[in-house]
Order: sequence, then structure tokens, then C-alpha cells
Amino acid sequence: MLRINLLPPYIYAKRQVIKTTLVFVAIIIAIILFMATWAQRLNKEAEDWQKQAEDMKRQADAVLKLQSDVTSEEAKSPPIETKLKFINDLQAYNVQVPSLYDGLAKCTYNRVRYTVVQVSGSQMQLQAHTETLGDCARYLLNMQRASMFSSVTMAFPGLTAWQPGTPGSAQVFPNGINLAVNCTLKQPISAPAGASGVGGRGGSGAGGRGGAGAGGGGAQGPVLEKIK
Amino acid sequence: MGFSSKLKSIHVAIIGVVLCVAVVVGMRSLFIIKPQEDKLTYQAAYNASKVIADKRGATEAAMAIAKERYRTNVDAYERFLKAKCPPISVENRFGGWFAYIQELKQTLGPKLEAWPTKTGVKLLSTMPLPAPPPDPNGVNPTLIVIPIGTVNVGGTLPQILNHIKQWNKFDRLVRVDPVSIRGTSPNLIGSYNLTVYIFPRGQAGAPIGGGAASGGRAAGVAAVRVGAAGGAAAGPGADISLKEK
Repeated sequence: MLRINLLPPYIYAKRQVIKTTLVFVAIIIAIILFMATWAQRLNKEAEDWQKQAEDMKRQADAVLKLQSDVTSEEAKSPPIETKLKFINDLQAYNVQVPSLYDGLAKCTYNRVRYTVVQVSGSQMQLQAHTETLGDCARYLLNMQRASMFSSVTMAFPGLTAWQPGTPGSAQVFPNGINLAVNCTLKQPISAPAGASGVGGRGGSGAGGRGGAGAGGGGAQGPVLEKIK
Repeated sequence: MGFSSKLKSIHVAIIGVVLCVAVVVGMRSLFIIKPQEDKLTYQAAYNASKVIADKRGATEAAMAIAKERYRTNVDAYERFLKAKCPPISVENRFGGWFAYIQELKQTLGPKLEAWPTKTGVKLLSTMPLPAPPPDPNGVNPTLIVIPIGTVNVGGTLPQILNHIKQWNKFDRLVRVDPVSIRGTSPNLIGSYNLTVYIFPRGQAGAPIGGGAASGGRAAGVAAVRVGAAGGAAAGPGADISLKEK
């Protein structure tokens, strides 16, 4: 059987409008529900993160406080370490010269006699006596080879000029050779920091010590005997 | 025929779409954006705090190292104080001052005088000790320096060098300036400057007011010489504190 709809379209338009309206109302309600759910979930997540952030901040604050404690704990050591360093440096300083003299004795040729030995800062001044120029040369070579000196210079303070009209001497050095030796130390001897400014006492101190006994060298035994 | 009769589906659809967009935009603005921003903010704060909190282990290790370092230093320093420093505490200025005078008159002088002989050389000079400060406030709370002056000793070279090395074993901390040696072996003379150092204990106490009160008392304190009788030692004992404050 054939059915023919002869009603005009506007008869259905109202119903169509209502359907469309209902569809969009449903869509809007769905959107509202979805957005509300999403917002609720976001709020919950934000609250969770807030709690975690606060908890983590407490832990971080504890670590920061610990770091501050570490800093103050570390700051307690340097003053004592400064004192300990001064003490250790001072004790090392005290034995520097004896060690230096030990080294000097090792590199001193055994036909050389010292009459004065003194150290001041980076310089070591020696007054010595040898019998021959050969002894003097050997001594100088040994000293220049010594590892503790960066340079060694030698002077002959007793030499005098030949006077016109006097006869020539058979020996250039009839009474042996007096030497003034100046050695520059590779490691200068200096008082530890903190002590040098005390009372203005630095360096090797007392003067007037050179020369005593220097003239008495003569043929006596070595003034400063070989130690070893 | 009313307005609704003119409304067609297409119009409703357009209005519906616009309303949907408006609802989405409005709800997002009102309810979504702020929680999202809050969440990101808290995440960032969490991450920043976590970076710091993750250093807890390293910080605890650093703390342990710092404590150990301090303890080691304090132990070493206290060993040194016990071995080489008389108990002079500057927390009590008068007590420290009296203890210092006692040290000079009763202890240090005789010890210094006996040391060269103990270490195998002959003392050829005196060892004058300086007078104590006339004012209790004059004791240096950080480091007491006692210049002894030039010391002359006699002996062979090995004896003199050994004597110099032995100063590090003396009961007090001393500074021995470079020794100069002169004379004829085996009768050599070694000359050097000697200085004694004493670390007082404790934090410096409040200065004694005025200082004039002690002036009269101190006027009678003459230079103390080695070998001088110890005499009646001054005043009460020092307030002794072995712990470094």
C-alpha cells in the first residue's frame, strides 16, 4: 500500500525545533557536567599537590636548616685550625736551621774550616778558611752542587794589593785563604705567619755575633767539624 | 504567527552551538583555569623543594664531616694545651693575670734555665723574663708572647744542633730563631733568639673596670729573672677551663 504525505513541511518544523532544542539542552547539560567533574578533579589534584608541596617544603626547610647548621659547624674549625697551623709551622720553623746545618756539613769539603755560620731569611753567610786554592775550588764546586742553594758566591776578604818596591812572595796565600761565602737558600727561612708581627721580632735577630774567633782559625782543627 | 513559529532548526542549532561555546568558555574561566594554575604552581613549588630536600643525604654527610673535623681539631688543640700551655684562663681577668704571674715566676723561668743542660749544652747566658703586664687587662686573650731574648749556649756542633731540635719537646711552645754558630770546635757557641708562646684558655672576660685598681699592685712587679726564687705566688688560682668556648 502506498502512503503519501501530503502535509506541508511547516507542520513538522515546530517538532523539529523542539527536538533540536532538546538535543542542545542535553549537550549543554553534558558539557556542564563534564566541566564540573573536570573542575572538581582539578581542584582535588591541586589540593593534593598543595599538600605534597607543603610537605616537601617542610623537608626542604629542614634541609636548609641543616645546611645552615653545617655552615656554622664548619665555621667553628678555621680558628682552631689557624692556631694548629701556627703551632705546626712554628715547630717546623724551629728545626729548619739545624736541618740546614746538617745539609751544609754534608756538602762541606773536609779541608775547609768554618769560623762563622749564620742564617738570615734567604741568605746563609759563612766565613771559612782553606789552606790552598785547590781546596777552595773543590769547596766551591761542592757548594754549587748542593741542592739547598740557588746560588753561591765567594769573596776573599783578606787579599791585599802588592805594594811597589816590596819583593815578590813565594806563596800567593802564605797563611791560607780566608773566604766569605754567601749562599742563597732555595727555601728561605721565615717565621710562620702570625708570629712575625709580634713585638717586631723577625728574622735572625741579634747582631754582633760575627767575627768572634774568626781570627783564631790558624792551624787548629776544623771549627765546624763534619757531623757525619 | 509568533516568534517561535518563525524559529527554525537551523536557528536553534546556531543558538545552541553559541550557547555551548559560551558555557565551555565561561566554565573554563570560572572553574578550570584557576585550579590548573594552582596545580602548576604547587608542582613547581614541590619540584623546587624536592631539589633541596634531595640534598638531605649529602648535607647530613657534610654535617658529619664538619663535626668530625671540629672534634679532631679540638682534640688536637686540647692535647696541645695540656702538653704545652699552662692553665691561664682569661675568662676571669684577675685569675688569668695571677696565673700568668705564677707561670712567669714559678714555672717558666726554672724550666727554661734547666732545659739547655737537659739537652746536652751549657747555658752561657741568662734568660731574663719580661715583667708581667701591670694591668690584669694587659694579658693578651689571644696569644701571650714572652720574648726571652738572645740565648747563648756552648757545646759541639752536634750538641748545639740537637739542643735546638729539642726545643720542640720543651713544655711550652717556643720559637727558636735561626741559630748562628761561632767559636772553635769543640767549644762552639750557638746564639739564637727565643720566644715563648702561650695560648690562654676561654673567651676573654669583661675587662676590669678602670685599670687603676691594679696599677698600684703591679708597680711592685719587677722583671722576673731565671733563677729568682719563686716566692709567694700571686693570688688565687686561675679559673681553668680546658674546653675551647
